[in-house]
Amino acid sequence: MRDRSEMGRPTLKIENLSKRFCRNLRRALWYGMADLLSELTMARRSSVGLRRDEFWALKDVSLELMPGQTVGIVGHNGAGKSTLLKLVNGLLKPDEGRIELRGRVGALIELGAGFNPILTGRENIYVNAAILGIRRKDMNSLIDRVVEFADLGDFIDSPVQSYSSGMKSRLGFAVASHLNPDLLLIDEVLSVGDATFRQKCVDFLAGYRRSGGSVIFVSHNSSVVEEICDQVVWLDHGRILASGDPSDVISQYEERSLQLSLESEMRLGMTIAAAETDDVELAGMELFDGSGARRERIGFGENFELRIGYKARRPVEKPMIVLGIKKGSRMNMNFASLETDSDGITVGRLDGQGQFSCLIDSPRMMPGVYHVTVGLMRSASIQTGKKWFTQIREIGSFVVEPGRIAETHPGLAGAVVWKLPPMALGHSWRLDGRALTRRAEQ
Amino acid sequence: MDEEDKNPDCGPSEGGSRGEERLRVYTPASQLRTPLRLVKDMAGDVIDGRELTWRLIVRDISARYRQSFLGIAWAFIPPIITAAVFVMLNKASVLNVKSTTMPYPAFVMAGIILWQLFVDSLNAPLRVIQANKALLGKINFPRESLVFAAMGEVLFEFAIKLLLLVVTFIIYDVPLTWTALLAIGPILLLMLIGIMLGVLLTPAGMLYSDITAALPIITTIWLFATPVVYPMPVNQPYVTLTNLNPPAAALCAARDLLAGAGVADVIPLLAWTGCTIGGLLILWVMLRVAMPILIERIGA
Repeated sequence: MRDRSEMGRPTLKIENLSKRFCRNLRRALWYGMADLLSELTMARRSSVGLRRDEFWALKDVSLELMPGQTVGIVGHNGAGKSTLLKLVNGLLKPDEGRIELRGRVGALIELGAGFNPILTGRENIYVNAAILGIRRKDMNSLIDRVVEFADLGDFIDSPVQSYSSGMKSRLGFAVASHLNPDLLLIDEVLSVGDATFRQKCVDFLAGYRRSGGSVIFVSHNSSVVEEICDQVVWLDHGRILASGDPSDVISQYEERSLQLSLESEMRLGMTIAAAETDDVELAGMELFDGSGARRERIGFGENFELRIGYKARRPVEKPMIVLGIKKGSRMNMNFASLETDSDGITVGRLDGQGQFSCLIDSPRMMPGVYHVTVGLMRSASIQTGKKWFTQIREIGSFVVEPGRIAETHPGLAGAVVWKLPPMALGHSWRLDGRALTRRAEQ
Repeated sequence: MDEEDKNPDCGPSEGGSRGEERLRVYTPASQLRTPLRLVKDMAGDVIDGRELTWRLIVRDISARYRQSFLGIAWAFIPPIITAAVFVMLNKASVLNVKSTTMPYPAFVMAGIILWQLFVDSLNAPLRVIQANKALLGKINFPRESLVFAAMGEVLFEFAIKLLLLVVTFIIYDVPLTWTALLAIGPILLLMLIGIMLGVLLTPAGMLYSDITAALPIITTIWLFATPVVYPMPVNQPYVTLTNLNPPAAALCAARDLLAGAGVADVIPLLAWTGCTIGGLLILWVMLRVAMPILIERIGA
């Protein structure tokens, strides 16, 4: 395996990079013609300000990447992550600043770009490899490994139009990953394929980085970024908000994400739209503490109550209330699902307006942001036709603060909130039959 | 345990060749300000792009005929119909063409097939770039390969149509001699003139769809302004005017040589050869410099 790590020069050096985009299509095309003319007459760079309808997609971004290093780019949609990759890949021209690259660049951005649907997978490997710059003599020795890596079985000799999108991505990754570049640009592609293939990709990346390959990694998945990156850059509206140590930057970024999602949640909570088909409209959720005071945040271990207003469009009999709670991202699974039926409770008749609530005793929910979903279901026994009185949907969010967590979990006092699991189980430890006690009590 | 031991095929391959470490610099300044680097990059891309060019030709040609029931017949049908129309018009004396070097049907067939080569070449650069828009915006590869591949396809199509021409010549007793091979020169020139004009239209054509919409109309009118279904005029000022029409001289020369006749006037041919070579080099640089700006605007 070649060793690139000893080279003292950076693979990539970005200095004060800026790029402007235009919001208006007609004007964008016109600016394109103007840029073209000034480029051809070498008169460019007269002004680097913003023209009408333009904004900075990237502004004053600097970055250095040594061989073997991986830098992660995080940021919300429109932060300029993909624009940065396109500039590094030479697809776009900078408006300010400078990019210096040593060696070959490979991009895992659009997997399978350039596949012809009519040709077979194998034929497309040759084409895609040629597009990515692999020579035919190298390709012949590589093709078996690519085919094996893609692991498509007999499909490899079928037209690509019969592939699923996951299969296309696998084929694309297999080809692109065997390009063996010095700098690999990865944009959200590890989420394709099944778990086995994903693991294969992660293993591949590990080997690639060990052999001295550099990576720019763009992902929304903070834990993956933190796991595989040596440094992280947080982009926001085209500017670097923070960069450096992965766990520092990621926790700042996550904190901000929580705040943003909470803010939008608070706004959303007021205007939850009921579907046409819902028999019962649900109003926003409100959080109360054990003593009945309205709160937006609750401390660790405190009892709380979730109150949800309803307005029945027509009377409904014996609805089953289904309440789910998840922590962190809305994409996560519910870790708790509370149902009146499972509890052996029959809810009577909902008519007119009112409110139902769920009290949660001595919760062991870890600090973080929680999202609540609620629906009203027909009890299984009387289910005819329609399953839901009210379709299950998100109704609100709340925050659990560390509060007095230090009393029971001293080690968690300063923990990074977003990474904590949702629940703490009541537990104790033993070693060789002898109970282990807390340091303070020793 | 080392992950690579578990998955020997997961590590980066040593097989993929890395060229010598090439330093790339991207700055806002016009590439024309550093001409030496520009020329170096251009040469490098042509060498790197050879394999890709070949692959693209194979991809597009095999894909085209695989999804078609009539397959290669599609290369024959349009010129046969067009030629038949002109032959009938001439017979009905709507069109009045006399004194051609060979029987009129063979003359028209040769003219139409050569004209089609020119039109295909003219359309090729814009067509190939539009067709690969998605690719251009996502992957950095030698863009020249697309145009080279398009030329390859155009020549392939033309080669198939030559079969049709040979059959026509045999039917109408036009003698086929070895001197017909000399036609390769003007044929290539005809194609390159088309490509040159096509590349010239590409930047504006990528930004505005007007060009693509207008091209078929323009080429239809252009057909009648060019000695395709009628011979080269012999009177001034029509000779000079015709010689100023880019494809005219090359087209007539190619047709005459195919039929075993000599070339009447070599000077316009040589002049157009010079213009084309110079023009192509300038346009190549132009397209290269323009590409990042164009890609940005067509929504990379």
